[in-house]
Amino acid sequence: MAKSDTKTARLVPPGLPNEPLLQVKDLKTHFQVPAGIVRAVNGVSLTLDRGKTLGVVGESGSGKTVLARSIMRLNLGDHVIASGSAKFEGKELLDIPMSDMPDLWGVEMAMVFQDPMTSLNPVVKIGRQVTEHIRHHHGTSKSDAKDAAIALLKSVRIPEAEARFNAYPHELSGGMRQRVSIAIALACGPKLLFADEPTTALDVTVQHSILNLLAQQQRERYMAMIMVTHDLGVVAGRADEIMVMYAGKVVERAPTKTLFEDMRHPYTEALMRSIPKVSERSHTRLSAIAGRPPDLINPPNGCSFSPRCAYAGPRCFEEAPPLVDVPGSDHQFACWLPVGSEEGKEAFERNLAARVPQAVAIAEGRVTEDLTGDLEQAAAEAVAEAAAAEEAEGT
Amino acid sequence: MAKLILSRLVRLILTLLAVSALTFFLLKQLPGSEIDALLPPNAPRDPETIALLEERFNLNDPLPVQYFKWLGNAVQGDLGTSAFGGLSVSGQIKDRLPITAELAFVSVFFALIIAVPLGIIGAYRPKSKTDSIISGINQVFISSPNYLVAAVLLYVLSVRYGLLPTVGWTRLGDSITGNLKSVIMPALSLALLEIAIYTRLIKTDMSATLQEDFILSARAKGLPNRYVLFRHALRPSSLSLITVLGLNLGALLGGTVVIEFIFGLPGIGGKLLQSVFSRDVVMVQGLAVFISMSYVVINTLIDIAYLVVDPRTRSRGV
Ligand SMILES: Nc1ncnc2c1ncn2[C@@H]1O[C@H](COP(=O)(O)OP(=O)(O)O)[C@@H](O)[C@H]1O
Ligand code: SF4
Ligand SMILES: [Mg+2]
Repeated sequence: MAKSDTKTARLVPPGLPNEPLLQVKDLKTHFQVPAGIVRAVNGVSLTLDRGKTLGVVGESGSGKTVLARSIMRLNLGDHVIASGSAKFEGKELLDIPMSDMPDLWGVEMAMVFQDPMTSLNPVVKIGRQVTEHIRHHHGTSKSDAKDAAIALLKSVRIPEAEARFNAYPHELSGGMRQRVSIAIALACGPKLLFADEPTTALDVTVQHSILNLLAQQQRERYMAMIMVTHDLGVVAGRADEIMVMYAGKVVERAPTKTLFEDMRHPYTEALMRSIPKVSERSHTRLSAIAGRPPDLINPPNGCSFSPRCAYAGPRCFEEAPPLVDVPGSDHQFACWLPVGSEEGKEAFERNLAARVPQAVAIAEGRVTEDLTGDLEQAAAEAVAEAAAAEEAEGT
Repeated sequence: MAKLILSRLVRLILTLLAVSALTFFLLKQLPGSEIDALLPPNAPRDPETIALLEERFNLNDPLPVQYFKWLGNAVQGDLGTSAFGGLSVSGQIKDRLPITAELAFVSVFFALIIAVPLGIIGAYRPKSKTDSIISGINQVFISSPNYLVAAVLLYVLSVRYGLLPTVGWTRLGDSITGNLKSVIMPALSLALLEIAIYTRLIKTDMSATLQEDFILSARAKGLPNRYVLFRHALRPSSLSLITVLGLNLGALLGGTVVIEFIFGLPGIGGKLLQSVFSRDVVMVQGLAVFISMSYVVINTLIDIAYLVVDPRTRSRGV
């Protein structure tokens, strides 16, 4: 869509430093749990400029939420092991004492949570929830904060904002509650907004208006946004850049237009294929991709997508592919046998010939959610067989 | 909201009627002649006295009529007059309730101001050193009967250091400090167990609340921890506490026989016990009705407290 082009063309307002707003390098967040170490975010790097939108896409369990919370340092608990670097306006966030983080929260960066049914306090009036942090951070008087909050509620298009100010969350619909959550996140004018699946819990009919509202607010405020979603369709027309995550790692990253025109990673392709039809974009769980999401405690050898990949070849099961640049382009991917390449095509044909289920499914153009049985096992075996057959034939 | 409170009050009145009727009829079923029960054991049983008593207590009327006559008097504050020394039941309640009620409320107050912060600390820093110390002390509190606590307090504070009077009660109207001195030890003896229970309740509920999304979203707004704990987490974590608080208060208003006895307090519990032993039916009946009433009233207050604390209950109808 043309929208992302106009966004890219927007100029940085004068007076703002030219450095990226956010620079993340090799960020890792692991959780020490009884069963072992959950590598939820496992070496993610990204750069985000002021006023831009980054879409973070991946299935449920790929580490998107943990990534967003890691940058904000909102993963709390003794079992959290964080490392790497996240610089905000050039300042290392990971070096800030935990006790000073609240000074940044809400003011510099804020988050809209996934489920407005649970992210608003049920026993606190909307008005207090929108004003309390304004008053805390800016020392605003009660009545000024109220005026600001009502203006804010109006700007996120909540009808009868004055009356809603005194309402409790349960008196509002899901869509209205998410508008309130957005108002809360915007209240102290953050420079960076994390929107963690802001529409996943909502009714299909209101999803679009919420996404449009976020885009509009972001434009007006010249705010950077990290939009987390499991649905590539959600960020398609709205993000400047898209980062695809799998098993805590970035598997592909590119400007939105490039990604859609020239995707290289089989997982991105699978996500693309599973974009729900506009008519039914509701609570998709991306069951459309065959097989189970990866085990983050005992990840498979080699490429973490290999057990589910329609392109996988022998190397994929042994060696993890590094994130490499597409020459002459602002585009990276991590795959040995990328989509669209000669090797990729061969690998796919080979898997298809061996009746590897996910390859068959793609070839027949059907959604793979009806595939049953232990796909991972079947896939690995089929791939090994195919490779063995090839070897036997001789080269 | 006002409508909901009104409906609770209507329900209160209906329950009061039911409870008073039940108590009345049950006590009528006690074995033995009623006249015997109404007369002190050594009083003469001549026909005139008996006729007088039958007249006085409407004993010749059918039971329902007796109840309504009794109810009519009760509503006007007359719960009957004991045949033992001619004490009026309501007079006794008026005399003794202030002591029992003060003891109840002060002990619950002590318990709350100590238990709520402890419970919050336990939930906020589970498995910390402070938390294990609190849990340990609670374990001791929970397994110490209140008469034991009373004995220890008496020994240390009164006998050993002479800081507080050993027995007796100074009325609030006579001396404020004297009154405070006489309430401290009995209230503390009752409070320790309550502290242990309330701390656990708050800690359990609070730990669950702290896992909620809305707590993370409140933190993510940059609000200070203390504010998040008290303004966001405490209210949704206090529902079980309120319930138990109500039960406790109800029980305490019925009098605390052992503690009243140890500290020589002229409260309701002592009177009830004494009347049971002397078979003073009128007094027992009057006090029983009063005690059940306090339970019912406290329960209604708890219901209303729910409405105040959790707005979601307001829309769930009656
Ligand atoms: N606080 C935590 N403690 C332990 N494991 C966690 C915690 N938060 C998330 N995880 C695990 O990290 C993985 C990634 O989760 P998440 O980032 O929520 O995925 P996504 O948002 O992409 O659906 C999941 O396997 C999840 O179980
Ligand atoms: S082709 Fe190989 S490297 Fe590429 S995604 Fe599939 S399994 Fe991974
Ligand atoms: Mg998530």
